[in-house]
Amino acid sequence: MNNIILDIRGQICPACLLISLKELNNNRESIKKGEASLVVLTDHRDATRTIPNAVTAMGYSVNVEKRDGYYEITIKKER
Amino acid sequence: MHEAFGYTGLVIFAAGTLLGFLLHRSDYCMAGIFRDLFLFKNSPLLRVFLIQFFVTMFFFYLGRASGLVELYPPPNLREASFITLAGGFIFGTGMVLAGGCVMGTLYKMGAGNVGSLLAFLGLITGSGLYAEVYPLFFKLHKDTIIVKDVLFGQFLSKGEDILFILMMVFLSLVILRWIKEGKIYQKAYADGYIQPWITAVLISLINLIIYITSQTPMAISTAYAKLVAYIEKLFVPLHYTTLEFFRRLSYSVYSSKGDLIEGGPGAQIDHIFIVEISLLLGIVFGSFISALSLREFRILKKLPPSAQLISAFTGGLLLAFSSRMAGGCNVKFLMSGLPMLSIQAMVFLLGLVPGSYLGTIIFKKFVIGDKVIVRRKG
Repeated sequence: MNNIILDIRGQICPACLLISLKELNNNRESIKKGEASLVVLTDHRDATRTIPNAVTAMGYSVNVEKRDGYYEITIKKER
Repeated sequence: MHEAFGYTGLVIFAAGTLLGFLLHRSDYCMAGIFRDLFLFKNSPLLRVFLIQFFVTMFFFYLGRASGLVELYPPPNLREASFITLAGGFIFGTGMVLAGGCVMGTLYKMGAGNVGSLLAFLGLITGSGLYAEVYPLFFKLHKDTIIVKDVLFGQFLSKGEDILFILMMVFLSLVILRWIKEGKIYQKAYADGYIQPWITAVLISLINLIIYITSQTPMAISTAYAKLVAYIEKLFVPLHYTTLEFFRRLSYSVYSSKGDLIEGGPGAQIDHIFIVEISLLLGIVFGSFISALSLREFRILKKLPPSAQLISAFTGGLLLAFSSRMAGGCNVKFLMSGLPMLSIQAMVFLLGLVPGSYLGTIIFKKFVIGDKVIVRRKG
């Protein structure tokens, strides 16, 4: 499976959610088919609330892991 | 310096530190309240803000009833004018572009966000620009005053208590319904996350403590003007003395104990210095501590795209300029004034909502655009 890495560390609000949704939309086909997942790297704490809320509402599955000073949000097709 | 000033300053610095800590943990961003409503047609933080409004209203009422809050209306609120409305509008736009309000900028900067540092510099620059044109805007404010009363309750005289009870009952019912429907709890994965409603209640408590200690409710934006005053006094002292803005006083009243409560934007240690500068430093410090304890403090690790940096600086500049036009920012108006039903706060909010809408359009069109760099790996 392809991991599409979207590194938006350091970016201001509300860019994090908008850019993530745009990228998700650009790769909708491959993510929906389970061929790719979108991995968002963010140091914006609120993005760990807004991104999972938005993408689960759109029918994706989401996983959030804390890395070294930032968060890794993985968005995949629903299991 | 009066010795009580030192005590007040310490209490407010401590309150600010707790506030900065809470704001960072909950990522309590007021800029998001209306922006998200326009962007995503959904704003969970608006519900949380209504809880803050409700609790602050209740606490201020208790403060007045117990006699602990003496000055009501507080000296840092004034009458509303069309300049308040225009200020609110520009503020709304600035808040979205800056990626945070006047207080949000501080806690985000304290946690090491470079965009917010740019917004902070914009706030300093905007306050300096306003100092140059102050006489014009002050005249416009005086000429366009909408109503002389400061608080809505002054209109009603004895009806104020009835209005208070009605609002308390109505808001309690609405909030209870939200709690039942599970609309208050926010699911977030951030380390050490504090539920925003807890922060909302604690901000209300901190606001009451600040009101009791300093005789004025929470306010912060004049602190930026004061920082500019010190910078100008140091580097361009002759120009500084020519500016009427720095010579004027925002308020000058006596408390029942006979203490003089007086402050202005100029470079002097006065009530505004003790209250607002202490709060500003406290918020930055508290958020820095929170970020450091979570190992999330980062500075210059990764810069945002230049469009976001320009947006943050411009937003900060607009925030400061419009705050000075309106006579305060969202902290004084939305967090303190609105729960007292200040007419100035209501007029500011009336401008802020469409201003946020404009900011949202500008941000989407010019800041997000289509430039997203994506790295792919197998």
